[in-house]
This record gives sequence, structure tokens and C-alpha cells, in this order.
Amino acid sequence: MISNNRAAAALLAIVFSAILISCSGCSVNQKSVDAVPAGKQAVIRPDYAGITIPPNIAPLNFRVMETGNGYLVKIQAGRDLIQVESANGSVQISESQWNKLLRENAGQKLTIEIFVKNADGTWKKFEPIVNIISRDSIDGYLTYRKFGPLYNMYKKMGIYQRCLEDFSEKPVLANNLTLDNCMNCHNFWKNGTDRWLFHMRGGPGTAMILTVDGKTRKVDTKTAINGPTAYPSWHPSGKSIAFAVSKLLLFFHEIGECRDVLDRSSDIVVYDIETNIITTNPLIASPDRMENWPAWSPDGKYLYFCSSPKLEMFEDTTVEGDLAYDKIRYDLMRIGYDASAQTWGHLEKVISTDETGLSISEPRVSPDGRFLLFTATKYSQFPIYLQDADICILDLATGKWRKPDINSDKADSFHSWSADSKWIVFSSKRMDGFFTTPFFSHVDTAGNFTKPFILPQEDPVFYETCIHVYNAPEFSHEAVKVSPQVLAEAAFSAETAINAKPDPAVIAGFKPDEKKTR
Amino acid sequence: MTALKENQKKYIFAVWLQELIVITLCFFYLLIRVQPVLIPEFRTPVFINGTEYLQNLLAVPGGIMDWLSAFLMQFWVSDAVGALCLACFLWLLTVISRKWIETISGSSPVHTLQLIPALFFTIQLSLYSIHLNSIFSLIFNLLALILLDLWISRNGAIRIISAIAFSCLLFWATGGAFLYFTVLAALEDLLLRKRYLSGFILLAASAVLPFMASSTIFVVTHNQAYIHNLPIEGQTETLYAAYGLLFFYPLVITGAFLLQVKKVKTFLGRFAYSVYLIRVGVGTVVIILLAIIALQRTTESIQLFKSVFQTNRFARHGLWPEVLMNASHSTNPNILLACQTNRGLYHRGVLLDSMFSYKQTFGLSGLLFNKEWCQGWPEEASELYLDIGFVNEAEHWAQEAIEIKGISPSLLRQLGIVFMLKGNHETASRYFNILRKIPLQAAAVDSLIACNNDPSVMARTADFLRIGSSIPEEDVITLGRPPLKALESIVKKNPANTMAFEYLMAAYLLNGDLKEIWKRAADFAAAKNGKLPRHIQEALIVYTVLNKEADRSTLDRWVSTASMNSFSIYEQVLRKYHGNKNNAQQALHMQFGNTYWYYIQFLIPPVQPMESQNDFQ
Repeated sequence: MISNNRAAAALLAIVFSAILISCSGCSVNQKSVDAVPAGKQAVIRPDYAGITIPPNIAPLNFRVMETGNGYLVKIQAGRDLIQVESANGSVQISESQWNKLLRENAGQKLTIEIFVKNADGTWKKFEPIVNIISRDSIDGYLTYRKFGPLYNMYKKMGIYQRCLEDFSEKPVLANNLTLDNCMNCHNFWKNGTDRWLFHMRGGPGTAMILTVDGKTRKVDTKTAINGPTAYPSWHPSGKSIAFAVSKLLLFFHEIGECRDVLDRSSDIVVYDIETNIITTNPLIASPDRMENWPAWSPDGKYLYFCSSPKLEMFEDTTVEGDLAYDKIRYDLMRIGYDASAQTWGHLEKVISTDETGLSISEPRVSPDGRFLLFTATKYSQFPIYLQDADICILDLATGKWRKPDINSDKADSFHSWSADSKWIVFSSKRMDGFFTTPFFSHVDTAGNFTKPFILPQEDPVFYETCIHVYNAPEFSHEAVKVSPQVLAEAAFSAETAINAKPDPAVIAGFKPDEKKTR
Repeated sequence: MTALKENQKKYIFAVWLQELIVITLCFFYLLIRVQPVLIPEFRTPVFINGTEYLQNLLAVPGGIMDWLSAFLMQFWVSDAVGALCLACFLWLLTVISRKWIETISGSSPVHTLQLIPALFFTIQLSLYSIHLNSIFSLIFNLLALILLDLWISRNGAIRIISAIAFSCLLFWATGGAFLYFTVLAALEDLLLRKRYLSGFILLAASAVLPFMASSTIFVVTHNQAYIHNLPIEGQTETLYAAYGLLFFYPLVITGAFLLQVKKVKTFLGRFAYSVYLIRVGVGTVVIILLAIIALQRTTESIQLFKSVFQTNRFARHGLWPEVLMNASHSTNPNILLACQTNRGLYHRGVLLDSMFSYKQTFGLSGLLFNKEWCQGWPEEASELYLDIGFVNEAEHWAQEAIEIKGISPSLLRQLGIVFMLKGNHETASRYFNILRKIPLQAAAVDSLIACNNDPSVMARTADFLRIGSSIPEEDVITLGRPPLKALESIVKKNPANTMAFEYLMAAYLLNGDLKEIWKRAADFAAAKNGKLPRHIQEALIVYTVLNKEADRSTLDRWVSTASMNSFSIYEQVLRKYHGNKNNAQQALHMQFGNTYWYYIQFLIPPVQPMESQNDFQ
């Protein structure tokens, strides 16, 4: 009996050892090798070299792109050391070790030493990669829309939430629950999930799904004065939401980037949650202009938005079917707002396209009110398909703007601020010019950014086979509390659904151009 | 005892022989008539090596069956393998069905009845719309049921607990198909075993479990939870077969209940061997006759589906003579088949000589698709556009195809090539990397990866070189299908792009745009080594007839005497009928039905406004 147990134990030990030996990219006990300096830094993918990372980010797994027969990676911060051995260069870091290392060394350097084994059994050592562990934590969750590259038709689409502290991803709502419809524009009030919303098109009905203090309902925001809404921005009071009402046209190019979008008309409206009333004003819904991308200042006293003369101003009537898509440029505007009296103030042009020669979209003010990020392109208000799209920062204290060096030669757009204004996430196509992925960067009080890094994934080679688009990344400091099933139920429920009402004052007085609101 | 066993063997042998005959017939039917390699044309169930693919499927009730089904279908490299695979699973289903019927009826061996599910599946497979996952799910559920009946049936409480545990497991593994297990177990308890409590509990479980699971654990709709992997899922044709499969097993139990088990035993049970053999023989004949009658009813649909899938497959593999053969046999033309036929004619070098020998009643849409047919057949549209050089259109429609059909090896390859030709090697590598993770694709994709990694290898590949030199340089704005303007732009850039040039001339022919043909005839002749194809000659003749001021020396230069003589005869026939168009058409059809004159006079559809003008207004 004893000998049987021993045999079993020996067998287990052998199997266990074999697993340990064969496993690639596992963390191992300290190991030292005699190595010759390679005289350069190893190339790793994704590029996690020279970056600043939050102390609560998931392990930055990567692949060493140098040729070799074996790999040893030492990750060190302060006294803590993680060693990972790999047969194929894929480096998968233990989550518990990584979390401990970051937690205990916030504010310190994080050094990655890479050793590669040559064919003759000798080792070479690459120059260390030095990163910084910031003291500033990042919001714990990132919500994005994930789907295949969108053209005209779509089948699988969903809004997903990823915990940034580990690799777990959960569907907020997948469209297989809502008749394969389109869903977009998820947005959280003050980066929390007590009040948040997203939009749906088609399926159970084009509407906003609004969650307020745990109660979810469908709100059809289309009224007599406006069409379906998009691009939401929560007023800091949490009581109203500004939206754009746009009429977009997707068209195609025969060369270069295939897709492009034309804004044929747009206005801004504001929805009051308590009264269920949608209102607007000629200053933000002028018949002569297209207003888009509303963004409240954190004190709620200003509404920033983008504005361009109406489409007809650009069309060349002598050219048949002229779309004028490449002539439309948007200024950055702002308008004063008194939330208590619900009155609009003075309209100002913050950045003029005459001055920049660029078109502005996606303004977002940092929660501390210090900076405003926006996207600048040669034309249009829809930057995701324009490779020249760059993120710019406007210092609201000085009124000066610049393009920070976080941009790439591919489309960089759609940004979101963390609740403490220390981190941003933005969509970038820098990996390959086609697939959009979230990148993070740290911002200091002077508006300086650190080198952006991509959303870490458990599989080091995840992005080499990823054919999904991560669209509209939004930070939140807590998980969405409503289940997909409850959201889907709200989407279909006729009992809880409500229709927004138009502001009688708007109907009586100013009425936005009918063509725009249809 | 030995004699008894020997006797038993004789009976079993008869049933096995019956099953062998019927399943062999199924095999040959599937091999010759259905051609299983065409089944993935309908909705390719791609299988990707790796944990992410498996994890995604494990998160869905029934996903493991999808996974298994997709894995096996990757190996359907030929009709024989596909038919053999299907026949094996039909046989397995038949054997398990027989075992189950024997278990509930207590008689052995059962004959004929067990073949009915295989027959229904064969009918469904004829229409290319069902996958292995339905068959697998049914097999798994029946196996679990037999297990329950044979080993766990004695103690009521244990049976209920076991059945509920099995139900949960089967729901996760086989999706809505778990209803087979739960409902049948419940019916057995209610009707045959008189265990009413157990029966009602199981019925309640079958009703509640999918609802509860889809409301809490799984992100699927209630509808998906109830019907995934049942034979009725996604079926619009031969619904009787789908519902037949659904109700066959409950009906067997009900039948056993109504006839009482003893009578069933007598009915199905063992008679004298000779009588038994006669019964098996009659049963075999009856089931074959039923199959023939049922399949006869689906013949027309089979022909239509088969013709379309086969043509697409031939076109994808560059088998152009086969494409044209299919076109000439087709009795039910449509825009897709017209486009593939014209593409086949181009690749056989006879587009502008023979296109009017085939039905061109769809006009320009039958050459370049229209938006609706692009949406219906996006992969095929993408392949055509890439062939001409419209890489962006090829990208667009291949991406639409992935949305509609899901990932398939051919789409991954297509998108990889498109991005490679566009110079976006990074994106191309993503598609090739996935393709590499699909069984049996690695060898083919390695050469593509070599091209992608080294532009000089790509430059040495004739097809890529041809398409690469055909890509437009000028931007044209479209809303989906490339307009003629884009074709003109390609031809302007590179008149040596013979496909674009021929397609442009064909488009003018189909639109009846004689002026453009007249204008471009010289350039086209230069691109075609100084000779104009027959239909262009015919168009030039019509142009000079309609435009008296046209320079007739052009005709003398480009049009052959044979074409001129032929047109004289055409005119004579027309004159003979003194303007009676209907009578003239009948007379002209036999002799001139394959000419451009006949097309422009009798068949040309009204020209649609150009997309770029139409949609932007």
C-alpha cells in the first residue's frame, strides 16, 4: 500500500515537473545566467518600453521579438523581482506577483531585463527597459463597444466592461439579446455607474437606455423638435444630459481608407431627466450651423461643442453630386449656462478653424476643469476613419492648445478622462492603421503626457490575431451594476419605456430646421 | 443458452443489414446529389485552434456542440469525406435511437422505426441548412436518456436528482436540444412508468431551466436558450422534417403508451425469423420509398441551392469552365449567377464574344452586382471586385460577409490579400495569423505570409502583380457598389488592365451606351491586339445605323464582313415582319438570340440611374 502511494507520489512529481518544464512564459524562482550584452534594447510587442503605468494595472504581458532558443525576463521594482522564463518569447506574468510588485513600489522605476538564449547555448542580455510606476491609480474599469470593423451591416456587437486591474471582461449588453441591433454612446456620470446611459438603434427600438440610481428605463428621445440623439454629455448635476442630433451618411472611397462619414445636419439638445423634457436653443441649434459633440465643463457653467456652417455653404452646385465632405470644418465653441435658471449665456468661439485650418471634434474637459482634450482632423466631425486625426490639449487657463506627442501617424481619437484627471484613455489605430484599440497615458498638472501604452491582455500575442474594434473607451471607477438581462428587459419593456417630451417653449418659439430633425 | 444467443444474433443481423442498406443509400445520396463540400458554403462554421475560441463557445449553452461540429467540418475536404462523416453520424444516431426504442418498449431488436430520424436529417441536409451540431446534440441527449433508463431508473428520488443534474449538464453542453432528454424522460415517467411526480418535475425543469439560465447566467435570449441545436433552429424549408425530428421521439413514447407496451412488444417483437425478415424487408422498402417521395419534393429547391453554391465554389477556385457549364444548365437565373457567369466568360477570354449567348436580362447588375445582391452575396461581390482591382470594394464586402456569415477561411484569405495589396501588411498579418489557426490551412497560408513579409515575393506572384497594377489611383466616392466612373478611372490609369477594360465595355453594352463604345473602340482594339470582339462589332454597327453622321470608315476598319453580313440578314428578317416586334422577336430568337442586336432591341432592361448620382441627390 505504502509503495503504491510512493509510486503515485513519484508519478505526480514527474508529471508536475514535466508541466513546469514544458510550460512557456511561467514565473520562476530566481535564476541567473552569464550573458553577453546585446548593446541594444530588445523589441517587445506590445510596446511597453519607456512608459508610465498605474499601480493598479493588470500585468503587461508581452512577446520578445528577438530570435532565440530561450528567454528569461526579470521584472524588478525596488526589492521585488519577478522572473519569467519562456521557450518562445511569450511572457505571461503572474497576476499576484505583479499586483504585489506594483502596489509596493508605486512611484518607483520598473525595470525589465531581457535575456535571450542563443543557438549555441550562450545568453545575451539586452539593455533594460525602464518604466515608471505612477502613484496615481487609474479608474478600475474601462467600458467599450466591441465589434468587427463596421461598414454597413453588423451582426455581433456589444458593450463590454473590462476590469483594468485584471483581465476579466464582462458584457454590459451584447446585441444578441436585443435582436442584433446597434448600440453605442455609453456614457457615465462622473465616471460612476449610478447614473449612466447608452443608445440603441433598431432592434427593440431606437432609444436611450438610461440608468438612474439603479432604475433602468428606455427613453425615446426623439420628439417633435429633434431626431434620435447621440454623443451624450452628463451635466455635473446629474440631472440633465446634452446630446447631439445628427444626420450622418456613411460613404466610401475607392482608394486609401475605405470609409468616411458626412454630417449632413446636426443640432444640440438637452434632456432633463426629472421632467423628461428635451429642450434646445437657437444658440446651440442654429438653422445656419451644424452643432455637434456637446461637453459640459465640470462646474456645469459652460457647454463646449463643435460647430460648422451648414452643409449647403460648402456644396459646389456646379458639380453634380458634390458631397463637399472634405470642406467641412468645425470650430470649438462654448456657451454659458445657468443650471438653476436653465438659461443660456453668451456664445464664444474658443478655437476657430480659420486659425487652425483643422476641424475639431470630441471635446472633453478634464474633471478638474484644467484642460480640454479634443480631436483635430483636416475635415469632418467623425475622426475615426481619418488617419490624420490627432488628439490636442487646450489649457483652459491660458487658452493655448497644442498637439501632444502622444499622437501617431494613424488615427488617434475618442478620449476619456479618469475621475482624478490623471489618466486618459483614447482610441488609436497606431498598431496597424485599421483596428482601433485603447491606449492609456498619464497626464501631469502641467498637461504633459507620458508615452501611451495599449490595454494589456492576458495572451501576450492577443493583438496579433485580434480582429475586433474597441470603440468609444470610457473610464469608470466601478463596475456596471445592472446585468445584461435587465438591460435587455428594459429595452423591450413597454411598461417602463417613456417618450421624451419636447419643450413647449421651443415649439412655441424657436423651432429647429425641420429637415435637420427628421 | 448458446442457441438462444445464436438466434438473437440472426435477428440483430437482419436489422444491421437494414441499417447498412439505408445508411449506404444515404451516403450515396449525400455524395452524389447533395455534395457535402457545398454545405459550408451556406454558413461556414470555422474552427480556430486556441482557448479563446473554445472559451467563447463554452460561455453559450450548446456551444460545445458548435465547437465539435465546426472542428469536424474543417476536414470536409472532399464530398466523399463529408458524405462518409455524415453517414457515420446518421448511422450512430440510428443505432442509438434503436437502443432507446428497445429500452422503452422492452422489445428487441427494433427495426425500421429507428431509421426515421436519419431520413429527416437527410432531407434537411439536402437543403444545406443544417449542421452537425443538431445531430450531435440529439445523439448526446439520447445517450444520456439510455443511461438514465438503464442504470438510474430504479430509485425514484435518485432518478429525479440524476435527471435534473443531467438536464443542467445537457443544457450547457447541447443548448435547447436538452429538451429531448428532459421531455422524453418526463414522458417516460408519466406515460410508461406511472411516476407522476418525477414526470411533472422534469417537465417543469424543461420549461424553466432555459428561462432561468438565460435570465441569469448566460448572455443569450430566451429564444436561443430554448431552440439552439434543435433541428427547427433557423429552418425555413422542409419544416415537416424539422418538426418531424422534434416530435418523432415523443410520438414513439406516446405510441408505446397508447398501444400499451405489451402490444408494442408484440408489434415490434420477434416473430419467426422468416416473418421477421419479411417485416424488415417491407420496412426497408417503405422507408426508401418514403425517402424518395420526400426528396422528390425538395428537388427544385436542391437544384437552386446547389447551382448557386456550386457556382460560387467553382468561381472561388477558378474553375471557370465548370462555372459556365452550370450557367448553361441553370433554369433559374439570378443576378449572382449572371455575375459569376460573366466573370467566367471573362476568364475564358470570351466575355465580349459570347456574353449574349447567356441570359443578360439583369443588365449592368448582372455584371457588377447591385447593392441588394452585394448585401445578399457579399463574399462573391468582394471576389469580383478584387479581380477587377477595386481593393476598397473588396475590403468593404469581405468585411460585410464576415458580419453576415461569420469568419471563414476564404474570407480571412481574401481580407489578408486585400490589405496586403493595399500595403497594410500589419492588418494583413492579423488575418493570416487567424487563418493559420484553422486546421489544414497552415500550408496554404505560409506562402501568403511569405508574400506579406517580403514585397519582392508578392511582386513575383502574377495574380497579385496584376491586381496591384489595377488598383485605382484616383478617388471616387461611392455608396457601396463601384460606379462606372470608378471603372473608367481604372481603365484611364491602366488600359492594360484588360479585365477592367472589358468590364467597362461590357457595362456600356449592357447599358446600351453606344456612344461610349464608339468613342473607345480604337483604344479597346489597341488593348486587344488590334481586334474587336464580336459584340463590340455588333454595337458599332448599331451605332452607325442610329447615327447617320457616324464615320463609316470605322466600321470598315473594325467590323468583320461576317458581322456585316449577319446584320444584313437580321435587318431582312425585321423588315419581313413590317414592324410587328413580337413576331419578329420569335423569328429572330433562334438565329440571333446570342447577338447584341437582339439584346438591345428586345431584352435591354431600363437603365438605372448611376448610383453616385442617384443616392446623393
